[in-house]
Order: sequence, then C-alpha cells, then structure tokens
Amino acid sequence: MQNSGLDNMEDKLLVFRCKRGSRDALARIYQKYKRDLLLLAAALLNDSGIAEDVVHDVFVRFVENIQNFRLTGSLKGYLLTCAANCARNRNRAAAGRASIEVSPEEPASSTSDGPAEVIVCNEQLRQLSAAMAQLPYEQREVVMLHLHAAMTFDTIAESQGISVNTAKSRYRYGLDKLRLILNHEAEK
Amino acid sequence: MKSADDKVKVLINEAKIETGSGVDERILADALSELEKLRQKQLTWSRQNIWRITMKSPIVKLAAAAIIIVAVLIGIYLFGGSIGRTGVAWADVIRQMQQIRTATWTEVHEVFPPDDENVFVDDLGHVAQCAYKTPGRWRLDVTSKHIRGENKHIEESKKIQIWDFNAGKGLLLDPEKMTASPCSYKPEPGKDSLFRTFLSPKADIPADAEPLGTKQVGGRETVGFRIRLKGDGTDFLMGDVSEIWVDAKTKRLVLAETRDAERRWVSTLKDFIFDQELDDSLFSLELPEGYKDIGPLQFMWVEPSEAK
Repeated sequence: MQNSGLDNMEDKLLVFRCKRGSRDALARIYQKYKRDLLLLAAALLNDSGIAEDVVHDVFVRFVENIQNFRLTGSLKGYLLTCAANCARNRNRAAAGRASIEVSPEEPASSTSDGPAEVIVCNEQLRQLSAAMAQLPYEQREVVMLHLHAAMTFDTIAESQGISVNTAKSRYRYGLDKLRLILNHEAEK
Repeated sequence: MKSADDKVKVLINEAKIETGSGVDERILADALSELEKLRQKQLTWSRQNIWRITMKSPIVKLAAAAIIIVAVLIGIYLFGGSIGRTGVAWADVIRQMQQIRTATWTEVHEVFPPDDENVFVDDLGHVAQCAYKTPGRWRLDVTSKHIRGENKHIEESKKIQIWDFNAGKGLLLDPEKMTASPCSYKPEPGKDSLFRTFLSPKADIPADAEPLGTKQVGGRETVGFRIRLKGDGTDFLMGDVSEIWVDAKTKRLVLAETRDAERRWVSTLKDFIFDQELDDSLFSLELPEGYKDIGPLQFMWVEPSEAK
C-alpha cells in the first residue's frame, strides 16, 4: 500500500478534523478518494448504481465510527478495504441476481435525469467490469485489491480472513482467466 | 502471466469514473447528517468543557486574545465585503478599516469566573499591547495573570506573539524563559488568515450593525454600533457581541468591547493609533538574540472552530 508521507499527513489531519465535526474535511476525504472507491466497487459489482450505494455506505459508516477510528495505515487503504467488504456483502445479498452491465458514457442510475445525477464510466472501465464479472467474486476481489488498491497479499489475506497462499492462488487464477477473456475480446 | 498482469494494470489505470454533483450530494448526504449529529454532541460537550480546555492550554489562551481582536478589527477588515444591505455609516466604518496600514492598540481582557465551582478557571485575564501592519503582520505583547499551584497563588507571565498571516508563519516568544517557538501553517485556499480558519466562513461579521447612538469617549464624539458574531456553533465567537465606537468625524475605531455569549469574559480594545510608522523589526520572525529555539508548536487548536 503505497502512499506518500504528505498524503498520510494530510489524511491524518483530515481525520482529526472529521472527528471534530468538520464538513469540509469529510467532503475533502470524499473528493480525494471517491473515484478509487467507486471504481473498485464498480469493477467488483459491475453495476455503478450499486457501486454508488457501496460508497455511500462506506462514508456513512466511516462517520458513524469516526470517534473510535485510529488511522494507523493509509486512509485510502482503509476506505478501499471497507468498500471491498461492503461490496462483498452486497454481492452475497444479490447472489443469483443477474448483473447489470455498466454502460459507457451513460447514466448508470435509472433515476438519473441530468449530468449532475449520473455516474459516467469510460470504455476501459466497462471492459474491466465486464471481464471481471466473468471471474468468481473472490478472484475479482484479490485482483482489484492487489492491482488497484496496491495491497500486499499479506494485507489482503488478513482483511479477508484467508491464508496468503489462498490470496496468491486466487490472484493467479483470476489473472489467467482475465488474460483469456481480454485476449478473446481483442480477437473479436 | 506478466502480460496479463500488465494488461489488467493498464486497463485499471485507464479506467475512469466520474460523478455528477447530484451523485456526490446523494452519497454524502447521510454521512454529513451523521457528522451533524456528532457535531451536536460535541457542541454540548464543548459548551460544558471549552472553558477548561481553553484555560488549560497556554497557546489557546494566547490565541483567544488574538481572536477577539480579529473579531472586532480585522474581522471587519477581512469579512467586510458584503456591505450592500448596511446603512451608510456602517459601510463607512468598514471602508475605513480596509484602508488601515498600521495600527497599535491595547487590549484588556477580563475574565469572570463561572458560578459552577466544579469548573476551575486559572485564567485571570490579560493585557496585550497589539500592533498590526499590512499585509497581515501582527505583534501581541501579552501580560497575563493565572492561578498556579496547590496554594493557588497568582502568577504573572509575559508572552509575545508575532505573526505573518500571509506567509503562514509565527513566532511565540517567552521573554522570561528566553525561549522561542516558531510556528508555521498552511493557509487554506480562499481563507485569508489563520484567524479566518478560526472564525470559519460561517462566522462572518454581520453586514448589518445595530446603531447605538453617540457618546463621548476620551473627549471625542463617537458613534456606536453593535454586532452579534454569528459563529458556527463551535466557535469561541458564537453569539458574542461587540460594541464598536468610532470617531464621528473620521469613522475610525476608538473603542471596541466584545463580550462572549456566556458572559465569561469581556475584552476591551482601546488607545488606537492608526497609520503611524511601525518598524519592520517589530514583526521580525527571526530568532531574537539570546533566545533558544524550543521547537515548533502544533496548531491543533485551530480545528474545533472548523466544525459546522
């Protein structure tokens, strides 16, 4: 989990200010990390509407627990882990439900009625989400946490309650399958 | 494996997601609502404890003196932009403040012990000789009295604060111990000074001022205005009332008296002299000869006022 010292320092101050009730600080944290969280959730769930719900839940819970929260690592890593956990729960809850594909440059929310109301994903995210959707969820999670959140396998294993070897295996199998899917897409 | 790894990495790096403002508001609405609940809890807590906290920390104590000054003088200077609805006289006062190049004055800060005997207050007030020079340079020579030790004897101490708010730097000097603490902070975008951070955007000096009529102050005819500092719920200044008396002819400040909303202190600013030459050395942030640098101070006390 790479994060610059300056970022860490800023995050510590932001968390401190949040604990004091600063709306500015919360908004700053949101603006700083919303894309990372949304992208992770969208890639894991292949649904930007549910991704929005995930990020919503992450921030609500973050504030609910802010008084007891102690930032020991990176805030980005913490929030991404929360988002991954939340996405996992959503995925379990929605097990069996057909996934809704993320559309490029189109509103992802059915209630949206203008540019301000929508989440817009580019073609690469659509490709990524579509490819990820073909992996078992556990593999998606490890791949995204390792490549997008830059988490070590040790950290991923710890956060998911699995062994490091299992995390590595899921990553390896996930990448193998992604390679096939992306190559197949390229050949089309 | 590596090519797949790289390919996915490239895809992830190039993947972009953007949100409209409505989405941001939707996502943050409940989180901000939770934060508001937290703030309300803190407000209740701070009302009960802020006195103790304020008095426990020397730096807060010194800063509090400066806040009061800001509220009645520089507060107007910084926040006086919105004068559209004001009466002509009040607008004139603000314009006069905005033209000040230098100022010196005396601040007398009196403290009234709370009725609650469970709350121990060790601060007995202070007198500060204050100097201001554009752009954003301040010097406060503060002599304060405190109750100290188990026998609760009264102790007098002197401290000097020098600030350059444009540079985001300060120097706190203890002439008795011959120690110095340099300070620095990052001015926030759109905020004019550390004190603006203290005041927070919602703590603007009100554009409207209640006229108080005229009175003689030190043999001068003055016109009075009363303003209520809005604060934002956690500021020291919330609900504090300032009465400002300006020279009837020049519209320049003659006397300012600020009382906090809970009647715990009153601060009087007087003996103003404007636009005299003030030597830059008064505001020097260099370590004075003979002083020992004891390291920087942190400005954790800035934070509570940011809560909205």
